[in-house]
Amino acid sequence: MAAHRREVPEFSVSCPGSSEWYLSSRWGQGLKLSVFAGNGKRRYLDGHADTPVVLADHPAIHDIRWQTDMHHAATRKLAAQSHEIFTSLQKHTSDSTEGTRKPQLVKFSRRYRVAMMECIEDLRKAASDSLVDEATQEECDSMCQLFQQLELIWNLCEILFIETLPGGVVLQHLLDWVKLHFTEADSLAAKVIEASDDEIQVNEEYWSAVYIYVLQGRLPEARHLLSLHPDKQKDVHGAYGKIDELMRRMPVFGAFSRQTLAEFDLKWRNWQELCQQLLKEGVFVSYQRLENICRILAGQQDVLEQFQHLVGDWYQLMVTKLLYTNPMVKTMDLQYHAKSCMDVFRGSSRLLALDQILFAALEFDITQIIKISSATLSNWWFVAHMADLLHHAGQLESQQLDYGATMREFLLLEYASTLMAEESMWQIVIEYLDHCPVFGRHHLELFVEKIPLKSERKAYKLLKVCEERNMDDQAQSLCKVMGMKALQEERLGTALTWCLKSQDASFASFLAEKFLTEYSLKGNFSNLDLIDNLGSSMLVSDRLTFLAKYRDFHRLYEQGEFSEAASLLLSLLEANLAPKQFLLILLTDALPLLELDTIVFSSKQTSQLLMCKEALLKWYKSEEYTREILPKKSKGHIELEKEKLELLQLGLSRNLSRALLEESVRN
Amino acid sequence: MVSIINSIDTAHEDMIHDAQMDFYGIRLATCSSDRSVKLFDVNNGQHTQVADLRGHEGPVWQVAWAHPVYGNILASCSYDTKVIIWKETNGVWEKHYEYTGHESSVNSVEWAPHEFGLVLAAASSDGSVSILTHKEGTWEAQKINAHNIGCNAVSWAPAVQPGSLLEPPSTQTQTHVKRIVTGGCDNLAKVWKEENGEWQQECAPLEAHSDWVRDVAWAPSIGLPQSMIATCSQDNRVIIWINDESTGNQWTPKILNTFSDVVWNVSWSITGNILAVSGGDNKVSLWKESLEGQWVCVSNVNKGDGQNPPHPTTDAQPEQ
Amino acid sequence: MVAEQIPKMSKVLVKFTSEKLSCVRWQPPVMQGLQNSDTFVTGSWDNSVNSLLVWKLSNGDETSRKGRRDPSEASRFGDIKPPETYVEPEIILRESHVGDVTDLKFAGHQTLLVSSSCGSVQSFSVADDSKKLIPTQKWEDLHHLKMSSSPCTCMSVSGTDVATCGEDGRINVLRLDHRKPIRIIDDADSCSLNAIIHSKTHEVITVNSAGQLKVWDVRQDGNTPVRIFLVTGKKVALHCVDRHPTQPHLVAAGGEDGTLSMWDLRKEHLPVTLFDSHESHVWEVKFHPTNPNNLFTCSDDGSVLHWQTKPGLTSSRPSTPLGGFSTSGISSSQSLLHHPSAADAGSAWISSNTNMSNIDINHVLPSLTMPVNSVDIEGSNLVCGTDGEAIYLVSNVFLH
Repeated sequence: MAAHRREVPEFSVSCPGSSEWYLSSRWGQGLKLSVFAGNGKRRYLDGHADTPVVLADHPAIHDIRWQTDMHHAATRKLAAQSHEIFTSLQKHTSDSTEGTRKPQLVKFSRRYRVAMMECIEDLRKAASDSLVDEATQEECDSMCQLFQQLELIWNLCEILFIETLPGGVVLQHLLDWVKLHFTEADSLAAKVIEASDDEIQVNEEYWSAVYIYVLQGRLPEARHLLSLHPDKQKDVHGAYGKIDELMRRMPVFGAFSRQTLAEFDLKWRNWQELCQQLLKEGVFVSYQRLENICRILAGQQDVLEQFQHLVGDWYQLMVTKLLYTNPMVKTMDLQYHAKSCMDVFRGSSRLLALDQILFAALEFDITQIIKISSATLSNWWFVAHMADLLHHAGQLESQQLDYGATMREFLLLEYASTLMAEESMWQIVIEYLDHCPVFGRHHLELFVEKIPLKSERKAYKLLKVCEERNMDDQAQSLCKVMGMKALQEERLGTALTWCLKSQDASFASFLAEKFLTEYSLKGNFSNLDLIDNLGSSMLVSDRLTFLAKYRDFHRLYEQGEFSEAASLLLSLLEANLAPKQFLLILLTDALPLLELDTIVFSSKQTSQLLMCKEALLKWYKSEEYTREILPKKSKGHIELEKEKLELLQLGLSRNLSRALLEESVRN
Repeated sequence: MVSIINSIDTAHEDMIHDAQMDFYGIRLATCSSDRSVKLFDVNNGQHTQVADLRGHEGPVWQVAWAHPVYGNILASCSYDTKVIIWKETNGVWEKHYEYTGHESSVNSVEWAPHEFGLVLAAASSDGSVSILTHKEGTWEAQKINAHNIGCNAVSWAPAVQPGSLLEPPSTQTQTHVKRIVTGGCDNLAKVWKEENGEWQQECAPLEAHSDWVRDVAWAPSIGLPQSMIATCSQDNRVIIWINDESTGNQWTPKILNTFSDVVWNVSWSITGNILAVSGGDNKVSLWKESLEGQWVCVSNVNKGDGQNPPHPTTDAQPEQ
Repeated sequence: MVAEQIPKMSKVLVKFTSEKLSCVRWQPPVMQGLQNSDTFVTGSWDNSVNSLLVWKLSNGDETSRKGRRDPSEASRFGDIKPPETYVEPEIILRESHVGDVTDLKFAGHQTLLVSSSCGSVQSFSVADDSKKLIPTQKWEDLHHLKMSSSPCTCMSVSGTDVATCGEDGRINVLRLDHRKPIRIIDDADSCSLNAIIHSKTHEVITVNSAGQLKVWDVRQDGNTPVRIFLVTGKKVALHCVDRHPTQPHLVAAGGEDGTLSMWDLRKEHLPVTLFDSHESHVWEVKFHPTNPNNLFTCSDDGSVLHWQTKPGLTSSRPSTPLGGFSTSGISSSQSLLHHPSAADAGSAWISSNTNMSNIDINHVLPSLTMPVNSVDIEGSNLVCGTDGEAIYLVSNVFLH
């Protein structure tokens, strides 16, 4: 957005070496780059690739980040707090109806401002924290000033775009706006009062405070200060009493009073006529200061010029002028008054960014506010949240921007990008991306994959993020990465739990085979607590089913339930679930069953076992076996296998005859 | 506001040519003219060297990390014509596979998106590109004669098809077609795709540069119904090529900028919306497409003189 | 199924911290049961450098608050004025910590134990004014894998013994004044152990990522548990476990699917009751230490639930939908009439798995979007820590 208007930020990285070494860079997550210098390919082009260069220093790689303004402790607090507000605002607007929305939006806007003010307060503290270095202090101080400006702009935008103004009368809000942000009079008054013992010290500061209160329309405060004036007690001409009375009687158009605009107008005219009259009568002739006040009240222009230094800036002048000359001004007319006041203060000199933004607001030009803010304030937090709020207030659309919604999304993406580089802020990033309907999803997918999985708890949280958003590929890959990590550490049980989460059949088979290999090497199972309790999860893969069933066989055998064990073994052999290399182990497992006193394999079952044995022998002759497996087996191993097969043959034939005999006897 | 998080002393004895963070940004691989590849753990701003891999007999140009679902695997390529794949087992890094199928310097390596399996592309000065595929414990190589004279760079297309604006990607039926773009000394960039196990040029070469194409980078899919490739060249220019889904296989060039010197590298940020360009002008400049569809420079990183500590020169100033 | 209304008597105070909080714990008062604690400790996670914070409640008033801020602020926002009297938690100490803080436990009033995702446990002596943490002992590398360290996930304290468990499936038993663990059970579990609690002096209960609850006698050699309990046939990871303070056979565990399971360890190996009230991972479960008819859970779904058994109600009462009776007012009046014995109250948790009408479930916090990682209750003050980088302090939690 308007980035072409922006002066391109430049920064330098020190890389020693010849000037011919160009700078190269690699991306990290978010706004993060690793940069280093080198010119290898150029040397290679020039034909010097093989001549080593003698370096004074080892080459270094510099990690840089930019737009890190929301990573500081104080601003990060704002990021977290405004995230909470942002998400409840999105939820609120999707829940609420048109009618109830607007008053609620004002509340949201104020919550943002409260968060900003807390941030300003924290930054102010950090800027004067003696424990941090000077550079950090300066940084905090400049951020503090920036956020003060932002809050000033936000407040004005809130009045103009969000607030409901009865009859379009805006003045009271503008007065509050000035009062809130320009508190010089309060500090002056406090200083004067603090310095006085019994009697108030009447000095320039005293009068400045009084004047500023009057200029800001804060008449109760002005009256209070005046009442402390020692002359007030011996008010021989009644001047103090009269000015006090005038100020007390100034009509105020309040949002909650029942008067109509016309009634107020009448009251106002009467009151100001009274002011004029008192001036004409010369009531305050011997009280220059009081006369000045009365002239302000009467709306005389020249006196304002005289007090320009107390007014502050053009926007304050505008509010003062409007208060005493045009209190019923409508928002739409503000820009004309703004222009003339701006001329008084700036003349032909350069406008500051703040001037431009405030003026754009008074012109109701939202696009311009956002453009100038993005281009000059180097802070995406403000524009992103402001644009979002205005979007919910329907203001972006009413501007008939064909890319109103797009602009909001664009700014939210920019803001989210500035948070990505701070690794621990990923959850906040994700929720902002969630509310970017067009590009958010793709950014999310690319972003989520690269979040380091430092602990299982983090992995669980991330997995939930993926599952809630149907990001199946990312969920799958996350489980696989966790599984692989566990596998590398030889934590097969943990690997299997991750594999089961993603129902990854091939990985499950791979792990089941690992368990089986471990068994065939060591003769016993590890991870029994898990394997024995697989339950229905064994169905993820055939191999895993086999593993679980094979364990069942062992358990049955150990418990002495031989005939159940025998039929399970046979069904395992026949179901073809076992890896080929495992067949011999299974057949060998039949041996002790064959040698029992009681017969557990029937003649039919024995023939089936014989067939399995034949099948194994056939496989031993296959090309697959002789090429792939046989070369890997040691001579001793082959001998051992041969021995086992012979034993098996013997056992099977003996069992067959025993079984046949017994079966014939029984029949 | 810009901040330098840390500076890593690589302890290489000659200049470095590449530095790549692993998938999660917690491990760094560097390679150098000193023929070595070094690995560092980067944690809490601290870095510790975990491995010094020796095996190449010439300057090592580039390194590439495989996706972590395959474990810890790294590929490197060198002037010595070799590609080496390194693997960590039981905490020890070892040479896992060495590919010697090229006749000249191998300039660039890049792993395919993990959805395709463990597949590596390598581009060589002998003009060919090798596609190495891991299958049942062995590596199979396929060769593409990509550019006469020499091939400088290769980059994979994302595994997802360019996103539709309406549907989230995971609901789309994905036809994972392997695609790469290559850049060569014939001033061309070419787009290749695998069909029935064969690699073929998918469309007419991308022809717009007037000198060697130095680097190519296929952009991650960011949700627009289009594919995007950035190329940079000896002719000082960077070109963005856009292939709109609606227009079929048409790549339309748009000159991003003409720089004052050779442009050596282009690379897209992880979320694909910023392009980093670096070259002989001793700068890294960052480019972004504005809402109005214009490519604008959003930041510049300059090379300092080595005397002063790194610092931000200016930040955005209010302007008239 | 949970009543959305937050009881009006409770006050919720939020403090943002700039760090995601993994753990919160009240420091037990010097005279337990006679006074309320005003100090708690929090730990953060996922930062490059994490921290331990010690917080103290100060009884603030309007004037001190005004002094802190711009004087005109109080009038700025009429609608969000703070309550007139309030307790404000303030950070009185910040210590940096290597790795994520995975658990915090107090052994008595003065000893704080901190476990880390780097696999270590450290003990601190807490100064009387809580303004200082003096490191007393560090057990490095308690939990580790073949090539790297592994997070210690949880600790349990019994007297001067501390049992720890970790993602490496290992159990360690430490003694506060011993440099080396007094018992190590390697490969206690094939999967990650997520939580541990003492049920008796020499007996610990662990829960793992495969949905199993195991009981161990740490005096026995070998690595086989005394008993294994399961949630269901499905592999639902269990994240946390707590036992009833007075009836140690009664155990509650929270799972990754948002369920809270209750076991009677004297009985079947399947849970007696399963409550399905959270939408996602239950990260911590805690019986109220002195009022065990109350139980608290916090979850990744951003909610904290207060579970309480209804006093004086028997299962003969006709069951009504859960939402139908959520107001604590009714229950409280009944609690005045009936004084259930401790045994009755305990059994209410496990009375029946279909009739949930014996339990009231209420939200303690307004709904948040960010996960709540930890919850602790002391007297009627509840504190929790979130990934939204805030602590929520709820005072005057209504207890039966």
